[in-house]
Amino acid sequence: MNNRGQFSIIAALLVAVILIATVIITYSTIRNSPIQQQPQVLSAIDETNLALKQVLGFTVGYYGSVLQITGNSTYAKMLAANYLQSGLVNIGNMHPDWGISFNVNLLDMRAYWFANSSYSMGNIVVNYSLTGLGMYGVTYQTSCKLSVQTGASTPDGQMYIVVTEDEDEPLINLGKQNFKFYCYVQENSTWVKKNPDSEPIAFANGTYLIGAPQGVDPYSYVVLVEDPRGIVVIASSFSAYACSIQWNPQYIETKYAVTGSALAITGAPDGNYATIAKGTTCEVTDYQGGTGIIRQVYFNITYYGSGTGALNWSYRLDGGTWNNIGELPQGGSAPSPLTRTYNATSLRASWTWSNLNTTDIQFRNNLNSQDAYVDSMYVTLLVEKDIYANLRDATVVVELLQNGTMRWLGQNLQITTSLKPVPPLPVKAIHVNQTINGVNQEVPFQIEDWASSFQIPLGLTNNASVFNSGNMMVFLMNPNVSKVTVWWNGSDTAVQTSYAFANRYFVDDPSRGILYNKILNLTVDFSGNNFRITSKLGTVQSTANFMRINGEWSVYGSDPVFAIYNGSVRDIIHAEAEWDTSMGGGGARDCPNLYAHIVIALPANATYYTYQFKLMFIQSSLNRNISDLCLLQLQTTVQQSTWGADWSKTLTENGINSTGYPIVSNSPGFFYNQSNVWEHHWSEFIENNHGFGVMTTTQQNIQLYTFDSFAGAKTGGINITDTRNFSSQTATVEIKPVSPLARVYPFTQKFDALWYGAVATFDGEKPIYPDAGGTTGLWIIAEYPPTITLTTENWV
Amino acid sequence: MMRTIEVLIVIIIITAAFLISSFFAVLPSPRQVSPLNLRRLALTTLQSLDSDYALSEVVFSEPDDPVWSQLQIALSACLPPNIVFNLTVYEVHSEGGTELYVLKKSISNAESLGIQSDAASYLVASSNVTYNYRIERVGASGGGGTLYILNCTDANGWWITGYTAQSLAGDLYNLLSPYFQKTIPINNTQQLGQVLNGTALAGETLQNAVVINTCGEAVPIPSGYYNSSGVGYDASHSSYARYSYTLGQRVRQYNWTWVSIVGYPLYYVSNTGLFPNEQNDWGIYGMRSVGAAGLNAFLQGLDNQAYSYDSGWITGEPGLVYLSSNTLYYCNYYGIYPSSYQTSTRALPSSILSTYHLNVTSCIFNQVGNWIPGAVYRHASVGSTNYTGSLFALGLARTPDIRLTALGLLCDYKPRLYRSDYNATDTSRLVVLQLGQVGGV
Repeated sequence: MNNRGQFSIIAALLVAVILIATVIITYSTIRNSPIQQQPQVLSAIDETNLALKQVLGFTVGYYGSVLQITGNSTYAKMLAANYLQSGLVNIGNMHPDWGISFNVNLLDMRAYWFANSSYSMGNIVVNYSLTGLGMYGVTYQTSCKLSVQTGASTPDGQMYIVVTEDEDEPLINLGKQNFKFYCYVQENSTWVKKNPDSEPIAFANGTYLIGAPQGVDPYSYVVLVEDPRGIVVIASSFSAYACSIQWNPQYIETKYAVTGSALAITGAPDGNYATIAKGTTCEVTDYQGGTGIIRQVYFNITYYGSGTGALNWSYRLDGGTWNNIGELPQGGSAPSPLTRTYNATSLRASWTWSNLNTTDIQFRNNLNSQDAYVDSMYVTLLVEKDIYANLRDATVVVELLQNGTMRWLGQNLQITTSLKPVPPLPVKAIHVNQTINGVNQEVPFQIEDWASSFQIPLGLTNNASVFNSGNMMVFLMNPNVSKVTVWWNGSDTAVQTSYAFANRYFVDDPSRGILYNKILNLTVDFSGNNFRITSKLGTVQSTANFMRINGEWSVYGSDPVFAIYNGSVRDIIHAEAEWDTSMGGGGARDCPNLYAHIVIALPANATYYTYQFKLMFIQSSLNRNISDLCLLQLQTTVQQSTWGADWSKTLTENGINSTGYPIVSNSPGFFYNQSNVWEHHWSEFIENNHGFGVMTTTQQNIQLYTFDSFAGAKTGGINITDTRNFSSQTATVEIKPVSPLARVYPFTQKFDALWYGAVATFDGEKPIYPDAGGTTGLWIIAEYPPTITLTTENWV
Repeated sequence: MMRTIEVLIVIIIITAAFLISSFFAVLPSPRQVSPLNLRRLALTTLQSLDSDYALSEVVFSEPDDPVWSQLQIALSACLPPNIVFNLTVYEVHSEGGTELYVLKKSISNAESLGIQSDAASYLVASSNVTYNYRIERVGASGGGGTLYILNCTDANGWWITGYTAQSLAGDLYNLLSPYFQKTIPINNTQQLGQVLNGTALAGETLQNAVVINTCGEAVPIPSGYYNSSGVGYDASHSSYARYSYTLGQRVRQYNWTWVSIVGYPLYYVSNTGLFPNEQNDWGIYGMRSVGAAGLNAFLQGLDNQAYSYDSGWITGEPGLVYLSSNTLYYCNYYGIYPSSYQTSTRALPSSILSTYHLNVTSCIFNQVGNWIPGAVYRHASVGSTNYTGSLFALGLARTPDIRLTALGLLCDYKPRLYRSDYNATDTSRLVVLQLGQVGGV
C-alpha cells in the first residue's frame, strides 16, 4: 500500500514517454513523408498519356506523308509504326528515372482521301509501366482524326471547306498556310501545291471560306489540309470524271428559204430587199433540204426600217396560228441591215426535215407610216450526222493522259469543256464505268507506264504507284457507250479492281510471238534480224514489214520487247529498227544519223492493230538523200476466187464530198497531197468485205505529208498496188512519207517525226469501207472520232 | 501527505511530457501540408500554351525571334504572381542510339527559382519539318552532291531505243535533279573535258559526283588531250580503249560514280567533230567502236592497274532478272515502280569484284549465278575502307528504262524523303518548364 504513489509516478512516466514518442513519430512521419509523392505519379501518367496522344497525331501525320508518295498503304503503315516506336523510345528517354516501357496493343491508321468528305485518323491502345514509380500495366487508349468536307463554291469562286478534328470538333485556328491547293502546270506536267493568296475566313463551326489561288478551278479542286499536329488530308471536290460521249458529228448548217411571199426574201442575204409597206407582212414557208438529225433550230432575219410603231416577227407551225416572237429593234440601212436570231428548238419536241417545211416565219411592219425592208428570212440548224447508226460495235481505244488529254490513234479527241488533269491518285483506287445501251457497268481498263512524252511504252503501271505524268489510262469504247466515268475509291485500303489487270480477252504467247485477242491473231516474226507481223482473221491474212529507206529494209539486232501481253484491254510490243551494212556502208542507204522506233498495240475487241512509228533524225554533217521512206508495207497474195468470183479491189479514200463522206477511188496508185484533195485517211484491198487496209485520223493523215515541206514539193502519200498473175493477185499498201515524187535533200537538220494509224483485217464484216459502198465502215472511227464533254462529279 | 507529493510529481511529469511533445509537434507550414503542385501546374501550363499548337510553333523559331518574348509574356499571364519560371527548350538528337539534348533557348522571369521548385517536360514536334515529305538532297551533309548528266550535243548514243541522248538527259534531269544538291548537264564534249580536268562548270563540287552517261553503249570523248595517244588513244591497237582507262582513273581520282544505263558499258566512243566520217556500222556517225576493251580498260583505270589492252568480252546473258528485295523496298520509299523483272544481256561477272577490288554496295537485281545484272560497284584499294571511284552498270537489254537508273542511284545514296526517326535532327524538341514559388507562407 505504501508503494502506491511510486507506481503512480512510474505510470505517469510511462504515459509521458509514450506520449512523447507517439507525437515525435507521428509528426516525424508527417514532416518527412512528402505529400507530393502521390501527385507525382498522377503527373507522370498525365504526362505520358499526353505524350502518347501527341505521338499518335504525329504518326498519323507521318502516315499521310508516306501515302503521298506511294499507294502501298501496308508499306506506309510499316514506316509509320517504326516512327511510332521511335517516338515511344523518345518518351522513355525524356524521363529515364520513370523506367517507362510500352507495349502497343493496337495501332490503327486510316485515310480516306480524294473525296468531298475525306479524313485521316488513328487509334492506339498502349499498355505501359512506370517501374521507377511502381506503376505497372497502365492501359491508355486514344485517337485522333482530321476531317475535311468540301462544300459548294460561291459564284465568285470562293470555296467552302469544313475542317473538324477528333470527335467532329470544329478546328478553327487554321491559316492559309494550312491549305494547299493542287494546281496543274501543263508546261512540265506536274502538280504543284499553292496556298491561298489571302487568309481564309473562319467560322465557328469549322467552316472556312477560301479564295481560289490562281490556276485552281474553284468548282473542281483538290486541296491538302494540314493541321498543326501534322495530320494531312487530301480532299477533292469531286471523285469522278464523267465523260459524255457524242459519237455522231454535229454541224451547223444554214438552210435558206426556197419559198416565200417575195422572191427577194428567199435565199441568202444578198442586199436585195423586199419592201414591206406599213401594216403588211412577208413570209417564208419552205427551206432547202438536208439529211441528218436536226438537234437545234434557229430562225434568222436580215432587215432594216424605223419609224413610229413597231416591227414584229412571228412563226407558225403546221398551218396554225401566228405566234409573235417579239418586237424587232429598229434601225439599220440597206448597206448595214440589222439581223436577229431566235432559238426555235423548243417549239417542237423534235424536228424533222419535213416539219421544218411546215414551219413559217413572218415579218410584220407595224410602223405607222414608214416602209420596212427585208433581205432574207432563213433557218440555221445544228444537224447530227447519224453515221454510227450501222457501226455499233466498232472499238475505239481511248488513252487518257494525266493532263486530261484523251487520244485515239495519235490524235487528241475533241473535248468541248476544259481539260481536267487527273490528280495524283493511287493507281489501285481507279475504276472505270461505262453506260452501255443505257446500263451503267464497270468495264476493263489498264494503266500503262510510258516514257519520253508517251512515246516509249514501259509496261503496266504498278498498282502501288501514284498516277503521274508518265501514266496513261487506256479504255475501250464503242458507239453503244454514251458515258464513261472514271472514278476512284479514296480509301487507303482500297484493292485494285480486277478490271484493271485481269486478262479477259487475250491468249498471248510471247515466246512464239503470238498476240491474239480471240478475234485477230498477230504473229510476230523476230527470227534472225527480222521484225514483221502477220495478221490473220478468218481466211484473211496479210503481212506487215516496217521501215524501208531508199529501198533498204530495216533489220532488228534485238528482239522486240513485249511490254504488255495478256493485258486487260491491249497488248503492246515495240522494237528498234536499224540498218546494217548489208547494202554497203552502214545504216540506211543515203540516210545516215537516224534512229527508228516501232510500237505496235493490239486492242481487245478489235479487228485492227495500231502502230506508232518514230523517226529521230539527228543533226548530221553528212547530207541525207531520201527518195523512198516507207514506214509500213502491207502485203498479201490471194487467188482470184478466194473471197469471191471477181478480182479483189483496191479502194482508197480520195477526198470527201460535201456531206462529209469519202470519195472512193477503186484504182491502185499513189495517193498524195494533191491540190484540193488531200484526204486519204484509208486505203484497203477488198472483195466481198474480205481484205485488209490501213486507216488513220485526220491529224495523222496530214502528218503523212510532213516531208513535203522539206522536199519542197508533194512527196508523202499512200501507195497501193495490185499485181495480177494468172489467177493470183498480190496487193500492197504502203505508208510513204517520202516517195520518188520529190526527194528530201540535203536534210541535215535534227528532226523527230511520229506517225500513228491502224491496220485492219476483215473477213466478211467490219471492213474499213464496204466494197458495195454505203455509209458505214471502220473509216468512220478514224475520220469522225467521238467528241467528249467532260465534267466532274461525286461518285456514289 | 506523501500521496499529495506523488500526485504533484505525476502532474509535473505529465505536464513536462506534454510540453516536450508540444516542442516536437511543430506542424509543417500550410504550404508543406498542402503544397501547390508545381509539376502539375507546369504541365497544365504547357498544355494550355500548346492547345492551339502555338507552343509547337514557337519552340522551332530562331533564338532571336521576337515570338520568344511573346511566349514569355504568355507564361507570365498564365501563372500566378508568386510563381517564377524557367522555360528551356532542347533539340533532341539521336546519335548512335543515344539521345542528346542540345540547349536551344531558355527564358526565365527570375534569376533563381528558390530552394523549392519543380518541373514538367513536354515534347513537341515540328509538323513543317516532320510530316511533309521533303527530299533530303544527296550531299546535303557534305561530300559531293553533284549530278552530271551527259547531254553532249556533239556525241551520239547507241542502244537507247526510242530516245536520243538529249531526250534521255531531259527525262533523267526531271527524275533525279530533286535529289541532288546540283544537277549539271554537260552539254558538249568540251565541257566534259573541262570536268575531267578537274574544273567545275558552275561552281559545283567536283569530288564525289555522279556522272550519268546518257549515250548508252557509247561514251562521249573530248577532242584534244583526251584523244591523244597515250591518254585517249592506244596507237598500238588502234583503239580508243585508252580513253576508257583514263576515264577510270578520273573516276578514281574524283571518287565519281560513273553510271552506264544500258548495254555494254563504254563500247563506243563518240564525238561528231572528232569522227565525222566514222560510224558504228549502223549509220550513226561521229562514233567509233572500242568493243569490250573499253570496259576492261575502265576497270583497270579505276583500280589503278597498269593499262593493258584487253578485248576480252566479259559480260553474260542471264536473261530474265528480278529486282532485289532491297530495291523493291526503295521502290515503295521513292514511289518509283519499274517492272520488277527485266531482260539482262550484258551482266557483269562477279569475278570483277576480286580482280578490280570492287564492292557491291547496292545490288539492283538479284544475282544470277556469277552474273550481276545491275549493281553499284565501289572501288576500295587493298587494305583501305575508303572508296575511290564507283561504277553503276545496268547490263540490261534495250530499251533503257531510266527509272531503273534513278532507282539504283537512290538505293545506293538513300536520300531521305521522310524523317524516319522521331528524334531525327530538327524534328522534335523537348520543352522543360521549371516553376518556383516565392513570397510569404
